[in-house]
Amino acid sequence: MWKRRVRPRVRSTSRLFATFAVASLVPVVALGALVLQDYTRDAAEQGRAQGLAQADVITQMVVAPALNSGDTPTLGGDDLSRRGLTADQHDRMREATRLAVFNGSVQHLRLRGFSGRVIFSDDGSSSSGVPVSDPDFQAASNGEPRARVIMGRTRTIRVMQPMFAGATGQSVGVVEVYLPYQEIADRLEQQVSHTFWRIGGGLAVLYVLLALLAWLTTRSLRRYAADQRYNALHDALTGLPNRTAFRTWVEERLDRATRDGGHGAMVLVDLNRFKEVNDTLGHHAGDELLREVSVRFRDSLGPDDILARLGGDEFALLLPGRDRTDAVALLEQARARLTEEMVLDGVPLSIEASFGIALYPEHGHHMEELKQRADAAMYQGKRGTMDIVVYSGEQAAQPHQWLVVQAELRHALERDELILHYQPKVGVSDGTVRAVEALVRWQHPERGLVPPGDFLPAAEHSGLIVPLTEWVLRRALTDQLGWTAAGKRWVVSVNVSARNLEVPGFPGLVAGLLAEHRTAPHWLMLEVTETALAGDTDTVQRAIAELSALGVGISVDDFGAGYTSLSHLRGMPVAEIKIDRAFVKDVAHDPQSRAIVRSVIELAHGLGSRVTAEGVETAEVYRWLIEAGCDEAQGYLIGRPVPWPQVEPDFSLPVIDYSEGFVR
Amino acid sequence: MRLIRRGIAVLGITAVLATGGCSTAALTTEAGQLDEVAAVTRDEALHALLPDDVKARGFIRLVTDASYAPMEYFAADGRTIIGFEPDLAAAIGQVLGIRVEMVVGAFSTAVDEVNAGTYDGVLSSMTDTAERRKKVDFVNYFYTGTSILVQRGNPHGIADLQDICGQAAATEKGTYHEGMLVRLRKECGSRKLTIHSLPTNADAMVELRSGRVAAVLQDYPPAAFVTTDQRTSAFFQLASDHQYEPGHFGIAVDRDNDDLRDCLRDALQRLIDSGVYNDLLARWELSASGVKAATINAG
Repeated sequence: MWKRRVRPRVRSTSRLFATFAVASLVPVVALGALVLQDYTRDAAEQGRAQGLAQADVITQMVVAPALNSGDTPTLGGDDLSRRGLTADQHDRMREATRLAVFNGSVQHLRLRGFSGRVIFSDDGSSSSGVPVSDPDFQAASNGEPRARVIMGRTRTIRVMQPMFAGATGQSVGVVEVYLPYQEIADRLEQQVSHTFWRIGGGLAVLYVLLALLAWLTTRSLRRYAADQRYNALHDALTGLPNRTAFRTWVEERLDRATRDGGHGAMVLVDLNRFKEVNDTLGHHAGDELLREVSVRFRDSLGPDDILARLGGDEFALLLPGRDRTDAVALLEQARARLTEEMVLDGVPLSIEASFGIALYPEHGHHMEELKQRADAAMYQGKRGTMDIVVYSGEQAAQPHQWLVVQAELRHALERDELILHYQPKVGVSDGTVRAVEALVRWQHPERGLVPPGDFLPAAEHSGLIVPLTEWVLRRALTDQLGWTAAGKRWVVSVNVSARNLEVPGFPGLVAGLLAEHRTAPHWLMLEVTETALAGDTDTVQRAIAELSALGVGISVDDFGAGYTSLSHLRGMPVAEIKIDRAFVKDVAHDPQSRAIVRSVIELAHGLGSRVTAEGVETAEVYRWLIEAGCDEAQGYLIGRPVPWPQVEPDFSLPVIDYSEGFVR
Repeated sequence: MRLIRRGIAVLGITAVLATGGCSTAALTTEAGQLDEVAAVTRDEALHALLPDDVKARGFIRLVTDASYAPMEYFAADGRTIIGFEPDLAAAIGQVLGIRVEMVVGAFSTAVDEVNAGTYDGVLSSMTDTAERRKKVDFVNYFYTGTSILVQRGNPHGIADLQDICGQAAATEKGTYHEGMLVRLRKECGSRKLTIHSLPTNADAMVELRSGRVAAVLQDYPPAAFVTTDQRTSAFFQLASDHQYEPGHFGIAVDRDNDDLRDCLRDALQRLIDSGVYNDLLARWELSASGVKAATINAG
């Protein structure tokens, strides 16, 4: 899933959508129910109103004229109740209602006195009708008409209304009319039913539309969220999981491994000289490079392996289930693939990388622990010649311990825990000591004598090298006063870091120290590594020029091991070139080394420099150097670094070695 | 405290008005309550002067034709009689300390019924005329003239009484206006005037509304009422502002019933003096037609 940039699948059912669907269904149904209820009620009300209107018309057009007939006006309601209708009025009522009842327009019509007495009934019955106690009867006798639907075999509407007999507005009784309602009810029901389907259908469509909208919205929200999640966990440039995602994945895998007893490897990868690509070809090329690199990495990996970009040119891999051999094999393959030439902006280049491997459970169970160790291994690789380094214990743990070392070293400077040992350099021609190289040692109160390799990188890294070098210079010049007083005329060599040369005012410092010790400048030699010279910055160049002008000798240390191009040497006031021990130790056997050393000697002499061979450990080598024309030699054969009083002033080859070697 | 009692008294009056004087319970209001507003008080002396049979019966029955708003007419329920006259009757009853009932009857036969003893009197906007005085005495409580009522828009162009000649006119049977029309008919000569005499004033209005007559003669107050009331003003208007043959209304009492007549007059005078009479007139917007003093047979 992490290998390709695939949009995470959106779940088809979403709780958000379901919530919305249910929540919106409630008001839609409620609205529908409410509208329908209202409509039904209105329909019934309409039916009743129609009944009332009909009864009113009947009363005014049938009943009132009939009662007002003749000379006897209807006066006094109670009077009518008691007296009843005249024969004439009764006949007119019969006439008026007969046809309507026959045709079914009116089912029944009764006139009632306020006492409830039936004054007229279409069927002649005087005992039928609504009881006086009925609220409708009471209302009608108080002037308020009432209509009620009666559910029987067929539906009937019963109207009770005051009998306003004449124009005076006097009510003389109650009219009780029964009107057919079935037809009206059927029509109203049909209307309600129509409305029901229309509203119901409309609401259903509305609901579906709403749901559709909600679904679309939630889907796009989900996609957006998924994208956000993806972006939060992936590197935008390469599409690889990022630091956060890597952490999550790795923690999960490690937990599983701890539980199930699995094993694997964590690898940190750092591209070499990526910054140069970025600086020279631009960020676009840098980005392109990173993309290409990630593609090549991915191609080399198995399906269970995890690759992530932690940032910059830093990558990380988790290789579950792979042991040391497997992991190294895989990475070698990956490196091979990686170093294949690629063309960026028309520039062919090959990129290299340093791989640091930490194995689990061997080197740790936890993410941080493993990462630290892989990091340590990677740095070791960067410093050394190996690209793929498996963590191998404490020695590789400098980066981790550097902070501690730096802090302690600071104290060491203050407490004067450092001491200087001197290793002699002898003239090859006569074996006399010409110079001594000051080498710093740390007399640690707990750890004893700490070798320089354990603390110098830390000092170099932190800038602590500047005060340290100053201390060494001061002490060496002081010691030199000591041996000069003892009659020894030795030049003192002090190692100087590139960082020292970058500090403005370093030449001034040196001049000051020389003056302070009343020492002539040519008694001091500053050894600068080839790499420092290649640093190529103006400051360094200027510092060297100034120091040289001062009269201080400049020595190129470890020549041949670094990256110096010969052009660097041109125009550089170099007094001495020290051939790296890597070439020197093999001259007895290796013709190529011999050729190189010979060339360097010739080159140095051509440039007007002295040549010193480092790492001379056997007489055989020494003899060869004599023969090759080397000027000076340094090494265990001649003398190990010791406090200056123990330096042997003269060196002579052991006779046996000499004769044997010579014979051969 | 005073405020509360005052409030109760006002409520009492309102109750009297609301029931239109028909309710015995409302009429026999406690005297103390009414004292507070210096309104209607029972006069024991007058009560003592009431005829014995009336006192024994416990109520006075006055006949009325309730088709004459705002003087007397039916409320919406079709049974309660309301208007200025029911209110006046109730107030008189309170002064006399006796219940006064308003009974619906035909106007044309009302005087005869009183003579026959069916009712104690007529209180139905009856004009005090010499002819009626032959049968009854009048306690005068109101003064107004006759108006000509026509359809809205006055389609027959009636401006004066003479204009009715050659047309049909309606009026309530047995009224003073019927007499006026009969007299007018004689003056009309060849332009024949047709008179529709109907059982109630409402029936006359129906005739006018339905166009069967050109005009209706009636007293100014009810004519003004129908032309201004929002339910009827769209159909009727006054032919002119002139009031013809103004005269008194009176409560008709049998000529042999002097005790009752005088009691009614004195009670009315009490109401005039106390201001209750004017208050009742004002409530029905009839202040212009009030009398200054209660008189008998003033014509």
